Amino acid sequence: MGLFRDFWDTIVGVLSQSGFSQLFGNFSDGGWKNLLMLGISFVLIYLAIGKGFEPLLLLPIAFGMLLTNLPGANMFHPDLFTGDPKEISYSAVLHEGGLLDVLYLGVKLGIYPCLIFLGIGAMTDFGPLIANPKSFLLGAAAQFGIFATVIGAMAINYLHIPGLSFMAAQACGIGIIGGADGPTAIWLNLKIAPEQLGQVAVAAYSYMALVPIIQPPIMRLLTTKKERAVVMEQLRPVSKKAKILFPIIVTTIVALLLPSAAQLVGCLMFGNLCRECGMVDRLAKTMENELVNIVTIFLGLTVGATTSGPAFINLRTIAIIVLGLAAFSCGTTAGVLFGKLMYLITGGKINPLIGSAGVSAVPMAARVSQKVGQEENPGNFLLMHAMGPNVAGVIGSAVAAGVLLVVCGG
Amino acid sequence: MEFALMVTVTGMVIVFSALVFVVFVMFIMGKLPLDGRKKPEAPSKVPEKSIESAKFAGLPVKEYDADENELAAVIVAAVYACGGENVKVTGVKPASPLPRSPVNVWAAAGIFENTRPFSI
Repeated sequence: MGLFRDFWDTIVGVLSQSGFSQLFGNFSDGGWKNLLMLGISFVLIYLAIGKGFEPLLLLPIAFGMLLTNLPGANMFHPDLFTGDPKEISYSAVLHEGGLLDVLYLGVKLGIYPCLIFLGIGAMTDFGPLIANPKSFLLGAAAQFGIFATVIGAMAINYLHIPGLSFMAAQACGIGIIGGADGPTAIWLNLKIAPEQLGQVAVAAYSYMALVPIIQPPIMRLLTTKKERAVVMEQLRPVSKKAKILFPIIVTTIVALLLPSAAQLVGCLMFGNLCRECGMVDRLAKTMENELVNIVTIFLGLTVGATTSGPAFINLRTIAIIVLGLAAFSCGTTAGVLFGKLMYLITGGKINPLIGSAGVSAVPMAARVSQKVGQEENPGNFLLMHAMGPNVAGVIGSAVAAGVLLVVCGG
Repeated sequence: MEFALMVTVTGMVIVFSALVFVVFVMFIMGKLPLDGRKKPEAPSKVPEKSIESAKFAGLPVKEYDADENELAAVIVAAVYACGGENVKVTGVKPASPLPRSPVNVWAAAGIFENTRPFSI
């Protein structure tokens, strides 16, 4: 009898410490938030695997979200990272933290965004942009979404909703979602608004994955069939020398004009220079493959791990997600409208659809321009023309982040 | 709200200024002879003697356009380079679009080539 009692007590003890007990035992006390986030992670995993929505980004984020919302697993300890990166107790992270805590240091210290930009630079061919420098203007125009969202976030303060107000730095940190650039959004927020880093990162990467859904309706709404069917002239060939000089010139000009943007633009252009010079192929291949893959795994998992239910599900998160959608939409709208302006100025030589590629979700936004253009004219090949504004948008969003950093005193 | 408007105006001015300056530099680069470009030469025509010789020999001659002759020669050379002497080219004709796809195969190949680094 005593043996049976001990056995029963052990079973009850194990079950009471199980995740099920913590999930449903505290259901009304916050457990429902973990359950909701688990459900959201399942949906994101389905979108990544079943629908193929940017799986390289979405799958690590979704799985990190799954891991962190398993009660009792203690995979991630957000209390180790509250506040300014300068105040982190690194010995506490190393002694008390787990794998995800150590990996999260790369996010908190701003290392991962710069490394990812190295890889993006090594992957990117700036030829279409050099061949048609007017694309820079489309890339610049699409960054209006960032600043329009700053206005929107500050305007929410006037609604006087309890528990929902954004300081200037937080509004700027939300606005950068409109740049459609995950590394830039993380880099800026950890410098000016680290308390909302997880929410902004999840919003930014999720919307980057949803570009094929968000952009086409806006593009069709703002353009006519005639405009969408415009076939653009073939781009001029670009010499090797020009492709080598381009990253050096852009780094010098942008860093001198805006030193705060030098980190991101410098890494982007260094990666590109390694690719184009042809003298360091091994380095370029490593940046393009192993480096960016490893950092993407670490970044995605740890960003997802910041989305624990109690910290994530609140009014601020919902506001950030809504504002993020507005930022994306405004950026796409501004890019397409500027494209229409260029269509008028050039006498119909520029297809306005390539303006939507100014949001820097490379190369998805360019593919979307190609796809929507081909719906009107199956023989229209807009991809290379859209890659110009697309990669210009990467530079533009980095410059915009530098501006916001200066303005917010980061 | 004044802060937000100030940030918007300042930000857009600086972003446009930085990129316009880069555009200007790119424009100057475009004018420089960085690739040793020369004026394009007039396309050479297939000499009429070769066609006349073929007709004299009784061979069936279809008077192809010079560009088609050169295109066929390039394609045969590429096939030889890939397949070696074991491959024999018996004909060259335009490819039809992929089934159920309005996209030209070359366009599809171009799309794949340019976006391959971003996908695994």
